[in-house]
Amino acid sequence: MNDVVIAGVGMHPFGRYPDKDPDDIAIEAILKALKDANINYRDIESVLAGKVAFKKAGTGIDLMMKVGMTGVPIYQINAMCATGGAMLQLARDAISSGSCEVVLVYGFDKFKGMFDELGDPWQNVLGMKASPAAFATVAQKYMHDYGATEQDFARVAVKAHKNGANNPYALFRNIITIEDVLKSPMVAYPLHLYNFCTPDDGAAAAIVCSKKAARKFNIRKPITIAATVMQTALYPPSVVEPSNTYSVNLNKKGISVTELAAKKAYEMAGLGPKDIDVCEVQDTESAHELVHIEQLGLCKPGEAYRLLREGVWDITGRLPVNPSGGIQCKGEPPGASGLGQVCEIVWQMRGQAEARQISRDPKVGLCQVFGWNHVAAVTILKK
Amino acid sequence: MGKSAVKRVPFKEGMMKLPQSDGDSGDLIGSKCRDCGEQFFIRRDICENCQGHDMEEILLGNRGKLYAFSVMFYPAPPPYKAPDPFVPYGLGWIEMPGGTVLYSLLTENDPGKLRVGMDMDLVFEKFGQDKDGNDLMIYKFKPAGIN
Repeated sequence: MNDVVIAGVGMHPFGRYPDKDPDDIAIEAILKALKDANINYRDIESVLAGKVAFKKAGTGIDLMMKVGMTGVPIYQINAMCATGGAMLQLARDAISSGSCEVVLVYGFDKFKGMFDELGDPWQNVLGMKASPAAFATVAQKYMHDYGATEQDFARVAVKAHKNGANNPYALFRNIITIEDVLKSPMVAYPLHLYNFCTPDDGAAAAIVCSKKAARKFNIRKPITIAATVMQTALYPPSVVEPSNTYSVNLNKKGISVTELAAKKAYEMAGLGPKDIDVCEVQDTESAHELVHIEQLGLCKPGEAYRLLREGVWDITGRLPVNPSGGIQCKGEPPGASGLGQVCEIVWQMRGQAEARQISRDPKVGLCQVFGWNHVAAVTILKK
Repeated sequence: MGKSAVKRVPFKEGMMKLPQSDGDSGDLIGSKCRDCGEQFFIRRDICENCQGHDMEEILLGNRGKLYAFSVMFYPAPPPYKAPDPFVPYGLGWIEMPGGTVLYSLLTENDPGKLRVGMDMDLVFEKFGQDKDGNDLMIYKFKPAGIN
């Protein structure tokens, strides 16, 4: 099934653009991706348009009319923070099935503040499903189970900013110290303000096509989609995973959605965690970067924070994680963040990541997104 | 209770059994699937495990152990109405005797006074009134042995 490739990618920097027409943010990413692939919009046969937070109805179709009226189907996709991975899976399946050859996928969002209706209505009135606390509960459990400290979570943020400082697509490009993180206000124990990603605006796009089309369009350096899997909860869900869940049965071993997706993705790709050379993982806050590294099988449970101290996840390390600075630095437009990861891994694999290019020559890269109510997606890319 | 005593009603039906007399600690309501035996917090009609529709109402108890927790130092977004001035509040997962772990507000908001594995008691607190003037009651958990 290694017959689908990424022909081109493009991004609009993630950040805050109160005075910019939201459509122009998405169109910039789309046109960059088309240019990167050297493919004309009239050669696109289907469009998948991702958004999560931005409220305007009909965004995908309205927006694409400004890019061109070519009669193609345009689908709006929302799979919460896993939207990017979900769209890649749909694009890959459409191409694998032979129903089309060239698909444009783009994700866009404008996002301010916290999600205000995440839980069920009664939970929201009581303030129970505040997302920072839901994520922080996992961080607290991680500290308790494995002996990690607030300093370790601070170290994740410090690494993110070291990478993000070299990323022109990132919102935050400042270097910070462990003390800066620990002195920043406590948001939800044990996590401080600088541990969290922040909602913002942005867009990312990719041109996905068959290998046959890649030859036809003379694509240089196509990146193969070796696997892409979108996953929701399989009962029993993992305890304390951020969700609307009221209760979980502790007598059964629940498996996280990221582990479920990763297992399927590794099988689909015929690859394992040892083959991964670089990855972008969902870092809603610092603790989940560590949790996700472990759920992806990139190290044993409870080991990620120790390996962080040794520099394993640095861009100069054995397995660089979030060389882009992650959403801790880029911010999170949830419709766009997944494809933002894909852009970064494609650039890393082509050697185009400039000052944040990882030391080793990556052959295989992985992207993982995770979000509210037990959703995840894992994508494996290879040269 | 005096004649003019305000009636106390659950914030949400199928969630709790309020104390009926002094010495009654009340309870939390759950559902047990008659097909697969799985049990859940809050009365529900469909089993998340086997998708069965034959659910019986059960009581989950009023004492559990703290499984994991956090404290919110900023107010949640609306429709939550934060007190002015805002007071940080605790949230956590409580492990009940049958193995059901449920999500709850906590009475304690000092992380230093919370630890995984500590005994937690069910308590009920007023959360506003309904349109008939009855007190709406919500559930919380409180570290055991603290009044």
